[in-house]
Amino acid sequence: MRSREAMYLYLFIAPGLLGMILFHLAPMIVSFGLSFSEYEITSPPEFVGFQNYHRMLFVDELVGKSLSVTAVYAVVGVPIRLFLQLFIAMLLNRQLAGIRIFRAILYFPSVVAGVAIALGWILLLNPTYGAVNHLLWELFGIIGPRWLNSTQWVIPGLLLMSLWGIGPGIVINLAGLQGISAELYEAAEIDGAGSFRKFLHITLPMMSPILMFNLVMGIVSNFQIFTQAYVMTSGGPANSSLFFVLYLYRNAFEFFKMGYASALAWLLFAIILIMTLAVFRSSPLWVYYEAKRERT
Amino acid sequence: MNLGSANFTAERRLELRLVRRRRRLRTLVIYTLLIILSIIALLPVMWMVAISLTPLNKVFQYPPRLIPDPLSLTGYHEAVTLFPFYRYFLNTSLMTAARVIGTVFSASLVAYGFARYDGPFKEVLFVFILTPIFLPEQVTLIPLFVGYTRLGWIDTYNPLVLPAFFGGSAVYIFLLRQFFMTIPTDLDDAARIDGASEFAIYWRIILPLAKPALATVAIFTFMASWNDFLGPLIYLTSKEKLPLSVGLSRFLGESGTTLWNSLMAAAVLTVLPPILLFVFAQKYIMQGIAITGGGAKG
Amino acid sequence: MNQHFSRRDFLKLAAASGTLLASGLPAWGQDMSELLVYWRNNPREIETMEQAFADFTADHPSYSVNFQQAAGGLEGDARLQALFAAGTPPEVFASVFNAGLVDYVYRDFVTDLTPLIERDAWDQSDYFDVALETFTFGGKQFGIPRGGIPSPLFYNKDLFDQAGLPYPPTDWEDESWTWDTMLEYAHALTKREGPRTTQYGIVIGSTLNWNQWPMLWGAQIFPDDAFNYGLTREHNFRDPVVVNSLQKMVDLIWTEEVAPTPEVSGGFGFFGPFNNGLAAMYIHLGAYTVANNAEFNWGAAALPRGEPSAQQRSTTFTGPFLIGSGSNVEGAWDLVKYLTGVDGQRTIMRGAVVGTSRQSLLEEWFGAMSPPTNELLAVQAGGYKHGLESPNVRLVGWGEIATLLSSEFDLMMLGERSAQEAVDALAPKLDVLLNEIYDKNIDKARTIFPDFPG
Repeated sequence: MRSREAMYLYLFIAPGLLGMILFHLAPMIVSFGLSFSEYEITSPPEFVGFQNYHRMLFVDELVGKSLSVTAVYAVVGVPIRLFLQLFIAMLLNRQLAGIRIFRAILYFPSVVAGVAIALGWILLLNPTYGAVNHLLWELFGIIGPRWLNSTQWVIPGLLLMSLWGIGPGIVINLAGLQGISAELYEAAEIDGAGSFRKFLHITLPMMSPILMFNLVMGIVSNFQIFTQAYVMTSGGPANSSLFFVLYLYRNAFEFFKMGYASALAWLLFAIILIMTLAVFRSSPLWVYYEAKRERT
Repeated sequence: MNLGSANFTAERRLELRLVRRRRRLRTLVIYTLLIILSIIALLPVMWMVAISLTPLNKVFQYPPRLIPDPLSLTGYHEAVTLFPFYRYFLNTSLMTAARVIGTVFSASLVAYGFARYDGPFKEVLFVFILTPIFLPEQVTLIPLFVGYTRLGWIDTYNPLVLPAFFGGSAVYIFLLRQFFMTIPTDLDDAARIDGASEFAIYWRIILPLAKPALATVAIFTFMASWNDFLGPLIYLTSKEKLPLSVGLSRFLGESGTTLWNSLMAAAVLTVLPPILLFVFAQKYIMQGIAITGGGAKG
Repeated sequence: MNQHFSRRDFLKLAAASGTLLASGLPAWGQDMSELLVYWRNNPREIETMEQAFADFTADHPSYSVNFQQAAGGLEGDARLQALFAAGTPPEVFASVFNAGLVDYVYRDFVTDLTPLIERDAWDQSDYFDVALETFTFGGKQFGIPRGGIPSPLFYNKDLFDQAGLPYPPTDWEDESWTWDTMLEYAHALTKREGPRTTQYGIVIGSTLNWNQWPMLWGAQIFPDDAFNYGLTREHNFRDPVVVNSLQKMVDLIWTEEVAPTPEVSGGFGFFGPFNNGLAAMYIHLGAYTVANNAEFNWGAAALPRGEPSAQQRSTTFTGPFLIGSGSNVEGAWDLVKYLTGVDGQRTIMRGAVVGTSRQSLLEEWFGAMSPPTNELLAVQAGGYKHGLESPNVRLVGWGEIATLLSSEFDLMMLGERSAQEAVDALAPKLDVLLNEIYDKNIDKARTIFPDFPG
């Protein structure tokens, strides 16, 4: 029985495994190899040992700078997003008149993705002509900050903008909330549980696999943030939005240091992998799987 | 129930009224919150629509205007004439359709395997499949491009579409696995006792139950494909094969020559399909898994 | 009737998409006669370029042109390098992305055109000299100019008239046209309503070319010989003249308050405030056609001198046509000859921001603009006489150098640092970087240029 089960496992996951090997493994191995070499595109890579890693860890100040910029963005951004995603999803998970329209509206900003929206935000956040500061002044009498032109406000500005992209997280949460059996809530109500207790004892545990997914993906996407900085700030002012992947991109394609960029990429890989594994390892403590409970 | 005295009924009526009032208050609060959030969500979009309708030389003015004066449709005219908009629209649609179908099918298959079966190295294999998303795509771009060139796949849709049929992005495998793990296994077991094959369990039991999750993955794949810029930019060379995302970038000029109104107009036209899809798919996301002792509903 | 999307429908769709895929499969054979043109462009130029390619293929039926744009330069460097890495380089790539021309020379991306020019006795006498010098390193010419203009000072004649000011001169030798005079004008042209500035005296264009400001005082940020082979260990940022010129520039914004802050001009795009009639003068990055879209009377003038005795110099902008090494060089060469020939230039200059590379066509090009042609010709002639290409295409490792410069100067531009403070922080870092680049590339320099002195 156990061996048959294992057979089914491998059978079902075969396409994914094959896809990984066919489309990802080779380029990953190549880039790992390149991280130990100097590669300037038109000439073959030249092996340089740990030189790139040495430079990255002990010489290049911008590595530490870009890592800390990225980490701050992620550490602040991920929890805020996790909270808002769940909060808004719960608001939307109700049978109210017109709720479908609200769902569509709140999802709308996430659809408008890509370069055009990033450029649009340059206009929105413009301290003088942008709508954001205009509204702050008109509604609250606040003189808005210099946003992208300020070393202190550029990251808050980008974080603010990222909140318009939480739609997918909301949708995932909504789908998850739909999966919670109404019976559980009914039973709790009979026991006299209030809203908060229902949330704590039913919603949170039942949603924990989904929250775990959002957490991992939040870590991955926040640590790999690129387009916003590339299009909107070029890492400025004074490197205050120099995100790690932007610095990596520059090394690869603007500084002709593909080997070094590969080393940077593998550092980021290690960081994200370690954090993801930490989430996975800690998951038995806080993630509740219906399927597991049923089996054991 | 039918034994209730008059006294009991009056008490109960009062209680009911209180509950109803509390409920009404709560509904009011929720509506207020939703309206505020909606305004916040829509503002940037309305702003961009406004820019799309503004003549280029009036894009920067103070105070910013939500209703442009004068109104201009030049942006929209240029958006559909400066590059073959409809052709690119068709390209994007076909490419996206293939990617959505491939991903929904193959990712759910793989996720089902991970969610329901045990075997040696399962955890390791799962992380192994997940690893590509931890590595910034910028460094695998050149090796991939070189590889696809050797295969003769440059300027075909293969590099963009084929991976979708092998699990697609590992993100969706992960997402679906998480969803499948919230589905209790008693239905599987019941089907197994009835002699259903393992594939039939996946096909007849899990997939229908997981429609919200599948619809979610479909929407995300759709969005990712619809907005994919780097992939088509790198892998496609013939102009008539390009998607909208790359066409859009045609309005971006060297510093200061960006055609803001056309760019925003094209962006507005580009986002309509994903919006419509979401409205359509909402039904599936919201229909609920809702398994009760009495069987599945919806 | 079941309205739901059934699994059977799903299978049908899957089959359909499989068919679609198969149709995408036909192998890609490289067509030797197809010429791949890849460049960063601006949206207005596309149409005229396409016209030029159509004319070329009508004349040369054995070729077809595949014209690809990386508009706005977005990830253009990545795409370009992928093409080279895969051994399918573009035949012609024009203009530069964030890495500069000489970087392409040192990385073997471009073909040395000198033998082709000599073989065909290709007449280059009509091209502007500065443009030719720009693409020549150690006696080898790597590009043919696709256009060329020096930066003049643009001004809004209507606003000058309103303020009752005389127009600035077209003559670059006019010693009375100085920075201080310009500043006086700028003050007279600045209007305020309460805390808001409603009209700016002057707007500073792209700050990426830091060299323009010292050049008004006759100085430069790199020594002259740095550009011979694109390598240098020296820079002149410690020169007080350079520091002073940068300070004067920033003072326009923060002390004199006659120029918009970076947030205002940044939001507009570099041309915006001037083009919208919100600024009276515009210095830097001369883009005539962009000015030409303005809805007011405009003019071009000489750049002011820092001091009456200082010979001011102008930054020239000359995008090159480059031929990818390892590509179909002969085909590419035919195309480049057409595009930079009189007919080709006549077609593409209509949409070009950088005008024409041919002196003989300049009058025709200016003829389409609103200011008097002789005025523009005078400004152009003087500008070229004292013209110098910006360092960005002429120094190896420019991507890294530029990144360092702008990150160190950001705070200065935002008014949070003086030029002296910025330079003090920058200079030692730039020393290290320049030496690093020099040492790394010296062997390569010796290989490419047998006469390399270092």
